[in-house]
Amino acid sequence: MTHRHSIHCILPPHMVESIAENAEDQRTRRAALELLSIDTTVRSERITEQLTRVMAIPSLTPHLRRYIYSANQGQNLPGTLKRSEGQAASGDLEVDEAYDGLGATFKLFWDIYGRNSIDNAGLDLKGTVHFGVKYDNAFWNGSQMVFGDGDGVYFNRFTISIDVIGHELTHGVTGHQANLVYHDQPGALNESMSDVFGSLVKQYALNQTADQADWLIGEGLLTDKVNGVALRSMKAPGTAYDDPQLGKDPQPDHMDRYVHTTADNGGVHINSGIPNKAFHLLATALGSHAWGTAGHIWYSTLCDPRLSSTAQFLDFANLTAANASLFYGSDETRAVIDAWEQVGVQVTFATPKISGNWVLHFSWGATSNYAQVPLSFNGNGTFSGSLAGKWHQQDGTVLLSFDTGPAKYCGTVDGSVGSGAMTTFAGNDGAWYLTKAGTVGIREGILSVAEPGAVDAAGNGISVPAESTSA
Amino acid sequence: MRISFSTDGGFAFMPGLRKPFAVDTAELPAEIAAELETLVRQAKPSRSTPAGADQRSYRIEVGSGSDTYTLEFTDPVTDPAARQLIERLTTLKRDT
Repeated sequence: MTHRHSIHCILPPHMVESIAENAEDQRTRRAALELLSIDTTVRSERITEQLTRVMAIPSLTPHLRRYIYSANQGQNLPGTLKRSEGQAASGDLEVDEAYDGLGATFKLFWDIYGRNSIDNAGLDLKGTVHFGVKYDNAFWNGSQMVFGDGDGVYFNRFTISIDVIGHELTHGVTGHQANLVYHDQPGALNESMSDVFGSLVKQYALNQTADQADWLIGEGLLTDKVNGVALRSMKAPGTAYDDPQLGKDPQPDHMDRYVHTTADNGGVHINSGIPNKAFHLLATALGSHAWGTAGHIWYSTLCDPRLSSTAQFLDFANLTAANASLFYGSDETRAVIDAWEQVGVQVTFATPKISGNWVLHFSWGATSNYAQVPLSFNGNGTFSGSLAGKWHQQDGTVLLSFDTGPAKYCGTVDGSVGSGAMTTFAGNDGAWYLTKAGTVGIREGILSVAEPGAVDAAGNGISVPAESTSA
Repeated sequence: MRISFSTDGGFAFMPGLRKPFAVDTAELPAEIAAELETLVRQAKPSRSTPAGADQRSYRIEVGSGSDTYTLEFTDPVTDPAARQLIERLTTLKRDT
């Protein structure tokens, strides 16, 4: 059998991009470009589909429909139906654990994120237990969950831990959203999504705060013959087990220790330790329940059409910061940036929204006319203080207008400073800058320097020679 | 017949589980050796790119005389001979 283009099967997409840009051989480049255009088309179709689906089918009522099957130690899926929605407990431990675990997972996604099942359109939840003989694994096959009984030597049954069930179902959610490809960094992000929401399923079911949670994946899954507490630890990646037979937990907790390997699809279950740790750091920094602010930021990023299927850790991190800024404030955005920084990922994109108390410095025209006004930026797009008006910010670009004058301000903001130009459209143009109140090195409360023809911040002429006003 | 068996990936991916297990059927009891050799001949490779996540893959390298070849499988393994072969090798590996 011949492959038309061998790069189809082997290379991760980011390498294909690199080939498309750099390959010297024209045929190879053309093959890579063809492949990328398919990927881009699929992605734009997905975005369109998501947007239209959200508009067309508002999820007003949750649709929970569980079907639990047994493979009876075989491997044919889905197997024999053992319990469906609303039926009483079957008495088969694995069947009933799978039923309850799928219910708990559905509940987190619906109660907290308003998501109606895996596809947000009420998809039936199917799970198969008793898969294979002494089978040491659980997986998502693209349309249902599958759980083995474990070998009884190293592993207990895979339905024992509710976060394992949440993990597998989240693979379905990811498949319907960003569809992160299953290798290297996007694959590790895919795995991390499943660990994050798997752990949140457990935390929500137990009503635990971030501090109370164990942050373990598969706690109870390892038998007492194994020297280990779980499969993975989000709190301390690399410490879950250290056993003569199973080896040592290989997860890194920092980019400095990123594992480059061809095993495990490029280490998808290994390097997921890095984004796992970032989420744990954010959740504990914000406190309270991890499924709240931290979970919302992660979930909105997973569903963000800007998240491509080949996203790297940095792409994901940048979007979490952008979404923290969009849906929350500068404190949360800062916490997101800090969490990623602690695992060695430097956020490069997001600019936090202006909020709280700032000082506006302004000067009309090429004069020595300079003054400050304190402004307080409110979350609803208004500012108040010495002057009231409206503000609008898109990433690093900010616009200000005043309720009581003709001035328009346009400029950029980055961190705790902003600057730009303003105009009254009546001959007076000037320059301004903003500093966050309390910024080190900026003197506040400087008296204005007034001269005849002075204009206030809103662009109104001041008839009386301005008196010194303090900020 | 020399058989080398290794697995990769899966939700419970652990480095110790990935260590290849090698066996020469000449060193096994005749009954087990015959069964393994039959299963190797009957097993239909089923390696595919999985649509989902956490599926495990299996690699069986077979050496017989100067002839060597590789069989690859991905979960779920539905071919009965392949499934039995993987189960036998998994048990042999675990008990070694």
